[in-house]
Amino acid sequence: MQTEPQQRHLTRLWISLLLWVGLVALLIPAPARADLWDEVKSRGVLRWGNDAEGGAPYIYHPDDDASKLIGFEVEFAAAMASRMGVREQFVQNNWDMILPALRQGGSFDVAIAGLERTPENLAKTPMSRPYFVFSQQLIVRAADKNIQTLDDLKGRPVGVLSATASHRLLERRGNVGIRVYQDNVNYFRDLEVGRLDAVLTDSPIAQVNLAGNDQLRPAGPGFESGFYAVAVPDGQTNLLARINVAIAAMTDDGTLQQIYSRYGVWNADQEGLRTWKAPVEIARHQRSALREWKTYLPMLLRAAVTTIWVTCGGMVLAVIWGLALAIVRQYAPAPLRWMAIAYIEVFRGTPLLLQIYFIYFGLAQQMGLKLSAGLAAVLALGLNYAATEAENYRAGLLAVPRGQMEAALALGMKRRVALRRVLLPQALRVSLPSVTNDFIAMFKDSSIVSVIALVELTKEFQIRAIDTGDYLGLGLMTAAIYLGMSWTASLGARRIERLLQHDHR
Amino acid sequence: MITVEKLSKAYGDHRVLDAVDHCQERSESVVLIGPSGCGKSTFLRCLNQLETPDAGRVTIDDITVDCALPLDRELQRQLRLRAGMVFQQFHLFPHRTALENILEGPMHVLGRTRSEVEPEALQLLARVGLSDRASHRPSQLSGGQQQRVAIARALAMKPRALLLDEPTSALDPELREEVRDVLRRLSDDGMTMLLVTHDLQLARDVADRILFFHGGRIVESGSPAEILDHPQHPRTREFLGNKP
Repeated sequence: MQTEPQQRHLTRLWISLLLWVGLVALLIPAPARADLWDEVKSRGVLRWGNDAEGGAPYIYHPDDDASKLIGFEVEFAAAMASRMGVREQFVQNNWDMILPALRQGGSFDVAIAGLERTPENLAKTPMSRPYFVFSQQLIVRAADKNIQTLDDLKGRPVGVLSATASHRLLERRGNVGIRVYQDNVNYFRDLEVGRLDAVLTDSPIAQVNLAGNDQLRPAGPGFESGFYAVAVPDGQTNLLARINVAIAAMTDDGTLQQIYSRYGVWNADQEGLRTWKAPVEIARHQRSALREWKTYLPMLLRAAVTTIWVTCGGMVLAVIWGLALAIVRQYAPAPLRWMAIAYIEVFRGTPLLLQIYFIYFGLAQQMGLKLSAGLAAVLALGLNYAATEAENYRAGLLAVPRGQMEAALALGMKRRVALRRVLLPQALRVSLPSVTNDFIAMFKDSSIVSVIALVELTKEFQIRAIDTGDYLGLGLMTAAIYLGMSWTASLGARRIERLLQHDHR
Repeated sequence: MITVEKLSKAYGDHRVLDAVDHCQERSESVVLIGPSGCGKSTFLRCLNQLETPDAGRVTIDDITVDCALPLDRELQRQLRLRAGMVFQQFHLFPHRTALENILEGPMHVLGRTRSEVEPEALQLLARVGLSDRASHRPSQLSGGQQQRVAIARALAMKPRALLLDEPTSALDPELREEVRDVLRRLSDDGMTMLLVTHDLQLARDVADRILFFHGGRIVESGSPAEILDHPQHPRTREFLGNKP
């Protein structure tokens, strides 16, 4: 009896080990590729990667034709390709993963995706000369008259796009509350409804989103300008040189000015493209999160605390609300019972991700109910798992022999008392293993709440991995933390189960 | 003490109880016998409303429940408080000890305190011969011991009458005697009992009167000697003749 759980642990350990070996095998770099420029020439097509979710003015579907893609980067890519004597082909890739995908190679040749020419990015991959000059723009609500700079926002929530120059800038300054977003749309929404007090973003995004929006205004002029450049795979110096020639020509002959003017993003700053000189190349190195574990492990552990409280909060809600649902479903009169059944079916039958979006964005938009990201996460997990828990409890209630209720009633108990004193204590013992199982599962499921500006363990991993490029080292650390959490939880759960079972005998 | 008037119950087309009348004095022990499926268990369960009769009236002590009137849960509960129930399968609460099973009703139905009830409960355990099993859980007790705890649990509510549904049927023959012994003493102490059983030995031991139930009716009634030794009704004779 003693060795059985241990054996299960061992099996689990072996499986995770095997998975990691597989992952490592995947990550072993492919042999150096042939000259990519030769390949592009003979193919006659330059494949460029970007994320169509990027939004206006970079790359977007026009309102009147969802099948078309337009944007200043789309036109820039087309002009650049034709300047190089090839056709262009757009390849969709999640923005978050553009650089890892480029480095891995295969699906596209270059990335043209508002990638900033920063030391951080240059450390990961070579980049062309710049094709666009952007600056940081702070945006606030029009009604907040007295916010002019970041210094006016001490300790207040400011939204940024994950792993961008804006994100790093806020981290460097460190005196405002950073809220990390995955896309260019939702932080404006959260700013309008008041979850954020400001958004820090690149000037083109600011320009497009401020046009015609009288609820928001720019706070002060743009600052900390930077460059967008084309990212090229490592070692492809021929391709890089061709691209640089094409961009320089388009800068000089006014092609870029024409394109950018069409999208309203040409401004005086773009003069910087003409005067740009390549800085002395910095030494490139891949950072190893494992070697720098003293920096990264505390970051991950701090994020794990968020995972823990979101999970525990969600589970407390799920356990209590699920119990109420199970009782209503089993014992309440018809209309209430139908409502409980409908609730359970809806929450079990729709994706948790959808429910999170609904609770966080939907409620704020339609009903003005502005929940904080943390509360929304706890609510979403709790309300969703409550449906599962309700079914666990119901199974427990059904497992209690009919005679127990009869014996309780025969003693003169009211149904309510019988439920509380006789049925539930027995039903809960039966349900306990499934409930604790769900608790452990929720540790992992909680990673899904990272979609709503809540930096929990998985999100922290993502941010740091994009930053360092070390998916393997950070992945191992993150996996170890998850494993540690769920293992602790399952030890605790088994202890409780044993206590209650002992009690039962 | 117990009065039943025109009690009827049907499951679909099958009439389980056919306008049954029954009257029982205080301290009288009445035993219901009859073939399986004759309605005797249903009759017993209708008395304390674990089954809802279709028609008729049940009076136990001072409480009358009339099926013609709308359901009154509180009255139903009062009726149940007058009549303790003992089940064939004991139905002890498995998550509580023998003592806690006995305390459960007085504390959580009558609202009495533990310090007040515990001496009585221990006394009841002594009365059914299980003083040394107070802190055992049902799963640690034999069938006979469980049934004796169940009887003590019913008695703890100080009922005016005891309804027993085949109390010895689930027990091995050698365990039956300990339950019979408890019931004999209860009967001698003047407890009003209505007992359904196939255990003719038990019937002979405790019954003041035996009713033979057949086809949803009481077809014969008399003293144990009259019914068991000199049955009149042909169906009673057949039933007893077939019994070993």
